[in-house]
Amino acid sequence: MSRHIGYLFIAPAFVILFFTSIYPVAFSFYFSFFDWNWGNQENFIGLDNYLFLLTDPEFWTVIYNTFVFASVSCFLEVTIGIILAIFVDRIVFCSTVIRTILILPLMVSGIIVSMISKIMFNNLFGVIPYGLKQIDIRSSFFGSTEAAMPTLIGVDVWWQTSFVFIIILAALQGIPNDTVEAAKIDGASEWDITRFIRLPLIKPIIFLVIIFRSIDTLKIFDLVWGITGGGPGISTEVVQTYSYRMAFGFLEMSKSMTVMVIFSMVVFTLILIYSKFEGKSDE
Amino acid sequence: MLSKLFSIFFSISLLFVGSASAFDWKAHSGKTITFLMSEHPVLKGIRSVLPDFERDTGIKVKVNAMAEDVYFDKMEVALRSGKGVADVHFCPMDSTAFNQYLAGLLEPLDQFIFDSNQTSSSYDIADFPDGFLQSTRFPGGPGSNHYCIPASFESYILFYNKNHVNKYLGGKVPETFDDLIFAANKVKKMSNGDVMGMVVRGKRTDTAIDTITGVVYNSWGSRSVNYPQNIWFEDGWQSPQMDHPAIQRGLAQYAGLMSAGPDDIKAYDWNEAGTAFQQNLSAFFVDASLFGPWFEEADSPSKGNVGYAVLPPQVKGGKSYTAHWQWGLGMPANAPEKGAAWYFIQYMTNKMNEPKIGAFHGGAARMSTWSNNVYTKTLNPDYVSATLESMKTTRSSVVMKEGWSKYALEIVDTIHRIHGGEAALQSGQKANSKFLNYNK
Amino acid sequence: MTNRKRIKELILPYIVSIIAIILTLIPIYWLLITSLKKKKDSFTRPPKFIFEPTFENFIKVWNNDFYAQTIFNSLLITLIGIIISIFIALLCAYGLKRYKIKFKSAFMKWLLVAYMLPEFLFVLPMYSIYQSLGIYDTHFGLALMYQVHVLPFSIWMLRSFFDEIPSEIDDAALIDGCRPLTTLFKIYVPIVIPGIVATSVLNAIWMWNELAIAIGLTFSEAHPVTLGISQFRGYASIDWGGMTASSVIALVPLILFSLFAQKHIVKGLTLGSVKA
Repeated sequence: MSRHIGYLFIAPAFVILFFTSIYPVAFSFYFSFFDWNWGNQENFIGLDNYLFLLTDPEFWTVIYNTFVFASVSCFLEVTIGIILAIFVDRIVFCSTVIRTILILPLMVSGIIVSMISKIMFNNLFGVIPYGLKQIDIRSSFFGSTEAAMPTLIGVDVWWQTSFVFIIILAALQGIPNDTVEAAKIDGASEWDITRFIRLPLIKPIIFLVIIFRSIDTLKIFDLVWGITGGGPGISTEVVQTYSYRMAFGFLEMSKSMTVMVIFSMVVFTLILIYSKFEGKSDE
Repeated sequence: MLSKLFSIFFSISLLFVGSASAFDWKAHSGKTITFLMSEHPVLKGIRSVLPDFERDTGIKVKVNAMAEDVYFDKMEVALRSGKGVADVHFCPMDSTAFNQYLAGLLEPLDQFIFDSNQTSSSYDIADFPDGFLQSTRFPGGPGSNHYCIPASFESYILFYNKNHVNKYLGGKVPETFDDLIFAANKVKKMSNGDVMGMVVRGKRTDTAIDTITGVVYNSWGSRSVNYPQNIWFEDGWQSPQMDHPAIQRGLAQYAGLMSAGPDDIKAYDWNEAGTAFQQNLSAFFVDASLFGPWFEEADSPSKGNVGYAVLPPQVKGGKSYTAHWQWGLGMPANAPEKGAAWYFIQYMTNKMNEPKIGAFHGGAARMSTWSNNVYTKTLNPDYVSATLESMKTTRSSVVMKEGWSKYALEIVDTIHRIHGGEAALQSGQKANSKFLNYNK
Repeated sequence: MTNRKRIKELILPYIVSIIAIILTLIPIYWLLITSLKKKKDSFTRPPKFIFEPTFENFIKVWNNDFYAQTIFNSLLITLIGIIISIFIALLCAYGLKRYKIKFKSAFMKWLLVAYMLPEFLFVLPMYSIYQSLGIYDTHFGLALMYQVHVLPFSIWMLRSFFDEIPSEIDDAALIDGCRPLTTLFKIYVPIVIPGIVATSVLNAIWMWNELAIAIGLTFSEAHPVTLGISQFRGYASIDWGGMTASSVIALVPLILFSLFAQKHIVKGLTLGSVKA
């Protein structure tokens, strides 16, 4: 009896996800073997798309850019988010207001973040170059091949650190008070408590945050498309902008889907490796 | 050809008055149609005329409008919808529409235009310059059908800030293109970077191709422009000529415009460039004539301070050339209410309403409209004369090739390479091999 | 512990928070003041910090019928989306934790695959299905499609929070012989309220700001607020005032929801439930 009840519990989720994800995945996978142009051209070409992409240096540059963006952003966001959460967790006064302010960035939509970033970093009328000029720092930010990616990363960190913050904070708030009180009575400092009690207790949540942040940063689209369009040159072109441009810009639907299939496989493999490494996976 | 037509129309006075004679506008009364559209000045004009339309025809119109980039995606999806969701859509008359035609997504319109039961006798499709209609005909050549009706056009012109030109250039608008680049750099230097010499689209996007084509046409000069290949290919798709001297010069000149701009010019799309110019932060701006109305809006900081000119020619006193681009009203092949949809298209593009709508966007397509007071009286006279002047020597920037966006992006990349210091010849040759690669 | 150290420990969180708040608010502040500026002040050189504020942008946006409709749509869509995601994720996470499910590991990984897929790839295949099912351009249809992103996240989140529950409670509940649903809602849920709140807020934010799927699967009836804001981006013209004002207004429901949701987490609430 109890064996079957379990399946009942996951049934609704299973059904919904099956409906919304299986067909699109199968659809994309199927069409990656064609040369579909979203019109009348639909010929089976086997692995041609895969071969083309895997031997195209531009594709690999895009993959490289994506991983650079993802690893640096994710690392910064997770680190800063956890540190911030640890501190805010200890606040009692006005904590609701402080917490809400700190997740404000996340509430702004991607397109608006892009537009505001463009304005703020604009060398002519932007407030950031204006401020930095006073301390003699100049840059072309989004207009230069070297500075564009770091600036994008900076924007994403501003935008998405709240994601990590709110989750870790919720996890910390769920830690039973008596454990902490006991340690305090023993004379432990806050830092000790954090290191030896809090962080180990929320390890599964940290693991989750790293996985989801990684996927999100690997999937980044709004910011790049809205701010730099992948440029200057292809210094900020990432997998999703590359794929989107292929689909809606060049009408190379099949190729676009191939990009996503290859990329999903890469990401999935990394997740598998990371899970094994963590040893936790989902037991 | 175009110039001849325009010199003729100057001597034709306003002829058309009043509405159609015995044509039955109420034939589709009671129906509802959906108009899929982007936020565009044409829409502002159509909205102003909409109550008249609904009253005259009894057809109800649901307007579905959004930002242009969102619109493009929506349009592509809607056209391919199994069950039609739009009856009329705003049609970008370039390779986008061509690709849609190839995929069978557009309804041919000749069946309506030349049917006296469905089109009023006063519609007069020949009132549209043939150069404009050419881009609406697919596949091109004899036996083609019209697939949209021109709604607006934009040609690429030079905007200048009168105050800055007076202050830094002694009131003298540059008379050659190289002079323009020189003058722009001068402004930038003299103002210590406070005022930019020039702003243009510098972002890496294939949508900049039309503005770029305008500048390149100005270098291409009186050489003929053949379609569908346009100037980028010598003779057939297998002979790209991105290293042609005239093209090299044009691309280098565009890169020169970029260099006279802010150092983060590569982050500038039309909204940054337009905004900077509107806020009086640049002496010059090169882009579509359609920006004019925005600059002249009531509370715009640039109102009254904008000068309009054609792109300066290559040699002093020489002829200026430019490109134009068009929007049209089209009918999806899956439109549920085709008859009513045609009435809408017809009404909004006929001789009576085009001037009213055109007053909002300043890019009317009909020749008769340009001598119609209703249209010209609301527009800045300098704008009107500059645009008319550009119309004399403008040619369509369209390239009818499947997947043209990819090539267009490479043209943008070529300019960026030149801007970064690479020689135009080398950059052009790289582009040639890329084009041949894409052809495969 | 010395007094000095204790004071440092007390003050440090506030100092860190203030620095974080300042950095966080700079762009938001800029968004806000741009919406209060007249056209001539929007983009000056140098940027204007002192100017004559105006509410004309807000008034214009507020009176815009289309925008008002999109706010309502988004409220409805997000509400439906949260209810579906939290409810189903709770059931699912509970089932995964408490019962032996054969393909648990594969299922969790499939969730990540669903989450990983880019939004615009869903639009094409789901478009025709949605039209034939009649849920195209409906609030429910959009909320349902959003599950492909929020449901995997919610399930993972809630499962991780469930994992944090001390085993004494688990065992106690089992021994008590409570019916599964009772255990879930009367015992587990109260303990993981912070997790549920965090998940709901994050889901709400994501759905509220989603654009790609909305473009594909809505036409006119269920346009969310992201499309409402986009109407202020014109062609050869941008209404910066309208765009920023509409974005600021769009923030308000999310802020209110977040404040409301967080009022329900008070530190130490969990104490009460560790009683056997």
